[in-house]
Amino acid sequence: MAFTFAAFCYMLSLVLCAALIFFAIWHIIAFDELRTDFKSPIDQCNPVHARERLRNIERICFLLRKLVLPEYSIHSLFCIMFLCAQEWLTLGLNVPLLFYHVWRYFHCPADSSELAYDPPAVMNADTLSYCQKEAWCKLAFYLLSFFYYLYCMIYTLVSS
Amino acid sequence: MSAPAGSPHPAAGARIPPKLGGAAAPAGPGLGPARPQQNGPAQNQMQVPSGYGLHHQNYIAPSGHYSQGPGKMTSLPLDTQREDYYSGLYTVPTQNVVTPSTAHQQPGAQQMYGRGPPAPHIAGSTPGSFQGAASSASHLHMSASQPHSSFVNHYNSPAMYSANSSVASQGFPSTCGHYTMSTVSNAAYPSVSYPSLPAGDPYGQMFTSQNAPTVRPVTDNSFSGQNTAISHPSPLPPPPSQQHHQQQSLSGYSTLSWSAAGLLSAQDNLVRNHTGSLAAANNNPANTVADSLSCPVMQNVLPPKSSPVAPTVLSSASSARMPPTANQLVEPVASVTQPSELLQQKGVDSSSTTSSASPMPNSYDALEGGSYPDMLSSAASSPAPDPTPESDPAPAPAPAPAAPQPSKLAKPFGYGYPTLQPGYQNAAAPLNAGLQPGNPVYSGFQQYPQYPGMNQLSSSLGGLSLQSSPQPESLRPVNLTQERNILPTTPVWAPVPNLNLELKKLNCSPDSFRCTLTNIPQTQALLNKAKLPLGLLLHPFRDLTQLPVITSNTIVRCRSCRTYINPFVSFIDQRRWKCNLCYRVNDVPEEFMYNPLTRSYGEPHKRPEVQNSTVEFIASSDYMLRPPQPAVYLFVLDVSHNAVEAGYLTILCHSLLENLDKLPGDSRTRIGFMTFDSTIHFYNLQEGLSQPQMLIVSDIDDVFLPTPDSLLVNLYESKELIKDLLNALPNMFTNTRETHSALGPALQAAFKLMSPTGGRVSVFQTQLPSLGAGLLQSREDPNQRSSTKVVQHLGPATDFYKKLALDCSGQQTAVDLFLLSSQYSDLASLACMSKYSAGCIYYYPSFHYTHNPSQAEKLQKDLKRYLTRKIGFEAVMRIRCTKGLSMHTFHGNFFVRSTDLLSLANINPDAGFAVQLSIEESLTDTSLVCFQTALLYTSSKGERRIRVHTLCSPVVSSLADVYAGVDVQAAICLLANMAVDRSVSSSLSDARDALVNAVVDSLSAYGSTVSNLQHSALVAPSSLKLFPLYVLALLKQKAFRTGTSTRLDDRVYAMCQIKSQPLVHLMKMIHPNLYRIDRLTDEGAVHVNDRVVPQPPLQKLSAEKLTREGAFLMDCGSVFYIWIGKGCDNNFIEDVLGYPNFASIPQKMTHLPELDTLSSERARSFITWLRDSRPLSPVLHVVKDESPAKTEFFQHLIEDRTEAAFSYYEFLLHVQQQICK
Repeated sequence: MAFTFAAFCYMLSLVLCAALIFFAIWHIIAFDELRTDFKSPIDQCNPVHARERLRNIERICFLLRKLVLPEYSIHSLFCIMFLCAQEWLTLGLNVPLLFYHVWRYFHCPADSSELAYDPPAVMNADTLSYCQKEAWCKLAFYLLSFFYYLYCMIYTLVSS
Repeated sequence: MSAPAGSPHPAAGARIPPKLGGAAAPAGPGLGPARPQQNGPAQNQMQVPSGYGLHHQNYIAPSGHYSQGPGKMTSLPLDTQREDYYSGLYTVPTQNVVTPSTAHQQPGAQQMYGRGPPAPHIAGSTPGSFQGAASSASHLHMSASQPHSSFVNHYNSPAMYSANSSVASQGFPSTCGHYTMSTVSNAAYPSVSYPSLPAGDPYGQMFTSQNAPTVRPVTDNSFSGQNTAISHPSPLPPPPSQQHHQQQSLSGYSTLSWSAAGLLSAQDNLVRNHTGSLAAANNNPANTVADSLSCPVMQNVLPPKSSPVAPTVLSSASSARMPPTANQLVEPVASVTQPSELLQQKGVDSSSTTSSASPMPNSYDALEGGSYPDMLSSAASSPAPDPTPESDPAPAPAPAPAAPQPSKLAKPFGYGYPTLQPGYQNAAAPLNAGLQPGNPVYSGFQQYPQYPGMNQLSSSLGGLSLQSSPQPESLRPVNLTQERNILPTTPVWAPVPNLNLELKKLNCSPDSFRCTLTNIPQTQALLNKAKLPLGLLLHPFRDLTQLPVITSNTIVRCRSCRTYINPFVSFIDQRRWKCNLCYRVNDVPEEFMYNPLTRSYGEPHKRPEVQNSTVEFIASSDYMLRPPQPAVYLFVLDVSHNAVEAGYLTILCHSLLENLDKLPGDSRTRIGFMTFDSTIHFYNLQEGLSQPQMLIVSDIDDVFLPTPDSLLVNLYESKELIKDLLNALPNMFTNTRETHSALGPALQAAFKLMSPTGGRVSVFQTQLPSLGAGLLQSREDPNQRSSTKVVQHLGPATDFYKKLALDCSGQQTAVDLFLLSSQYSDLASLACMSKYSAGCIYYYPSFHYTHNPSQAEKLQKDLKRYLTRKIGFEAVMRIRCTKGLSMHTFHGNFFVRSTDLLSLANINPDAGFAVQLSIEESLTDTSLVCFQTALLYTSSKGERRIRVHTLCSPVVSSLADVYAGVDVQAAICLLANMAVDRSVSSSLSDARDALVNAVVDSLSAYGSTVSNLQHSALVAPSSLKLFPLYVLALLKQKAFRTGTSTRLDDRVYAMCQIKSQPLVHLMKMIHPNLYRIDRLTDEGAVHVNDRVVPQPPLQKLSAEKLTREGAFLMDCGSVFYIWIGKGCDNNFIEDVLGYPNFASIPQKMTHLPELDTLSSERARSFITWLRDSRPLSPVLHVVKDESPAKTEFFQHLIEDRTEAAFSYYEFLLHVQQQICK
């Protein structure tokens, strides 16, 4: 029973993982809101509502954009910690997602300095459903890893 | 800081705030006047000449001829009320300027000429396919016995239908009907098939579907008849006498054919029965009646045929311009059918079964969704003879221009012979392809040798299998590498969905609404197998001459999916209707029971909403929470030195002055002006002022409106002030030395100004914005223009314009961009302001009002259209489709507000949209799918209106049927849209690869699954035969080409156009039309407004077609080129161009003189006719064979090889290679 660095890593990642889970859930809700306009069709066509709706979309997109970096950095922090703690298996599990994040981050459309999630692009049904799927997958991954970290934390605490 | 000030005229220059510095040292009024226009110190326009040199669209117009135009250039037909305004063509004071830079025009133009494609095409093509098209009756005598069996089929088909329905309960496979369709449809002789009708009933029950297969190979052949139709370019039908003769021979041979069929068939009994039936048919007195009738019938067919292109003439005008005599002639025939009407009625019913073109009768219930339910069948039967073509225009938009031929031909028969109609179901496509209805059957026989006897055998054994169903014309395999003349000589029409007559008649016009696959595959798996894009192309706000407008308190909509009631819903009984999109059963409201048209009660199915697939509702107050907005127009004008030097202000102000009264709007119409250079100038036009007041805001970092209330003023109250301003504007800034452009802040100000109301902002910009928010840097590297590798910077450089557009969209403001620049202006970034606010983009490269008169003229014409065309404000468009289908990507200029709702701040009649579809759930339980576009907008008169289009397509389950229904033009346009997205999000080379792969995939999918012959050859179904050609054309389009020097802005503009142009215009842009015009004849000419318009055949886009002795007209959509060969007949040059010989034709010529000769008249009427068919009047360039300007012309010859791209034949070989890999 010892409080190793690895154990600390797991504890910290446990906490942060919870945050990531919240992010993922928030993403899912946000995309759902983008997808469906909960007004009746006639109201939807109303110019006044249009303004509201547009403001909503922009707000959501703005938040989405704001959340990108925290999420990616938290996750890369995990990876660095596990690297330092020499938790190879955990690191191996996380590396694919890390690469995916890097790809997402740098593979944004041509010249625009902004990240993804700009309103016209996100509102494309294809992109939207892709984002939604991505969010669900991440939620699943973070949930599983949450329990995995919990297990690992206990394991490292107990074993050493 | 702001400097509110007095009169605008005197010292605009002096008021320029000092902070500009640099090049723009404040110029005193004394300095200005004497200054020659071009020589502003340190101003970037100095590059203008070189800029012109680089650009290819150079001054082709001889300035001397510039103002000749007024009389000649007729305006658009669509807005005839503006016609007379045209003559007020603005006269540029510089007619004699000869541009110095003509000399800069592209050298090396010569090298392209005469480089025809390497001509390895095998001239002969497939054996038999090119035999004389005018096959005579003797072919019938000589051909093998099998072909005659087609007559069997032919004769029996009507019987079959009647039988079909009567025996339906016995499990009679509907495929029978399916088989026969093809033959019947091809035949132009319904009168021949008619006589067997009475005989059909008694014998009909003896049919089994096994009979049909014996017919199959022959029908194949008869379908391949298109070969001859293609190689036989004459648009003229055979003379009536000949047809009649042929027809008689047909009937004469029918008995013979039966015995022939007997040889083949294993079922002697059946055959005997058939023979019997046919004998009966022949002996039947009805036969003679029909024979005697056949004459009038033929005549009646002929008029429409003799003017096969007539419908395009009238593209927007009366679509059903059927000679009235034809109708009357049809009537007697129709009356003959009366006795058997009961049978026919049944036939119609069964036809709805077969309309699915699948072997299994699908759920009958669903099928009836399309046609009238039994309850109403008696009612339904009466309309059959009723809607004569005269009353047709009511549903008119439907069979309008794009598919006129079939509809015309079909109608006379259809009404007379409802039972025959099923025959048209498969035939729609073939007829469509420009077939002459007389020929196919015969040419089919010539084709016969191509098909081995095996086919016969296997088909007689084949029984019921679907694969052995006859191939409709659109499925005829075409060996692409062998087919030398792939391009038909007549324009390509949209295929008509394979529906029964009733639905076909009601269906939406392909001009407004088209689907890339007219036969929708049943499952996504099937769609994936076909490797074809599925999507819709819309032109929702098209100018229509015929549009039923409905005012009613309750707009009937489905309660669950909010679909508007449309012709394809089914009435379960008098009081209930079933939605055709979500299948919910709704109540018919009381008000709907009354029909205002007929003033009758209790006939909801006769309401105009249910009789027309394109209708417009005037919306009730439910549809607006705030009162409809007035028409508000704001003009934001660049007045920097660059702009003043280009001189667009004169043209704009002239146009505006001319059209001020024609701006769409009502008494509330408001208008405003802003100008900007490094500061922003507002104009106070408040009523009561003695002259316009200019207010300058120089604080561009934090823009504010100096007097918010008086900047947008009522057009009618302040008209004098507005006119004053417009008269003064062109000269106000002549001395400016301000080179900077604060476009971003100006747009922000415009947004603030428009926010309370919404409306339209027209931005005129001539250079890169260089100050304030949204400033841009030049990103183009001129050395990369002809790079074959990477093309960068297709996306926006900043989010500023995108965000601004979204804000505008939220405030119901659209931003239209006119970019008139000679240098790179980063259209990729600027275009965002229009793209997402549903505006439109116009680009005039190297615009200069004197140096480039053709561009100036184009701007002037475009402006006229732009200012006066219809406009809809605060619009939204929603596209709905049958449950199971879903839309995923939209193309066009708009913002998607929720997944199926497009937010359009403005809608204009020239905007096109595209939608990609996917099939989410299998469509097995339905035989029809429908798409509905509803466009809700505020008209310029302040009415809230909803325009609804509904399109109906059949669902098919076999791959062959999917291929049979491909609308290749729609598919190409959708692919082009997808490719634009791809090039922006990924890269241009990716997009190009994707385009090539689209061809490779679809052809290899076809090769491996559908056709099992000739694996080595590159075979495409006839419906797809133009696919490779069009894709090659796309690859050579400015938007996607590599290797040829293309300026980035030109490329981006081409992409913007692909995204926002409707299909008709886009197709011309992708694949121009080439006509030979030095030998125009009246043969096949059409008459429009008392003018004879010759109809020369289309030529393929290859230098091999350009003979030195000829003159050719190329129609590229926005530009016309007339190419004059060196050896062109002097008579033509003299009669049409007004010069004695080739040498004396000037290098730049943009107008045809009005000469009083026949050939001149013909040429001009043809060109005018072409011009009239599009909203933006194209510019005409006369290109001499040796002039440097011909490079531009030769670039459009896409079948030829260039240094950087394949020729058509090489491309085919490349595709073939890819397939074999």
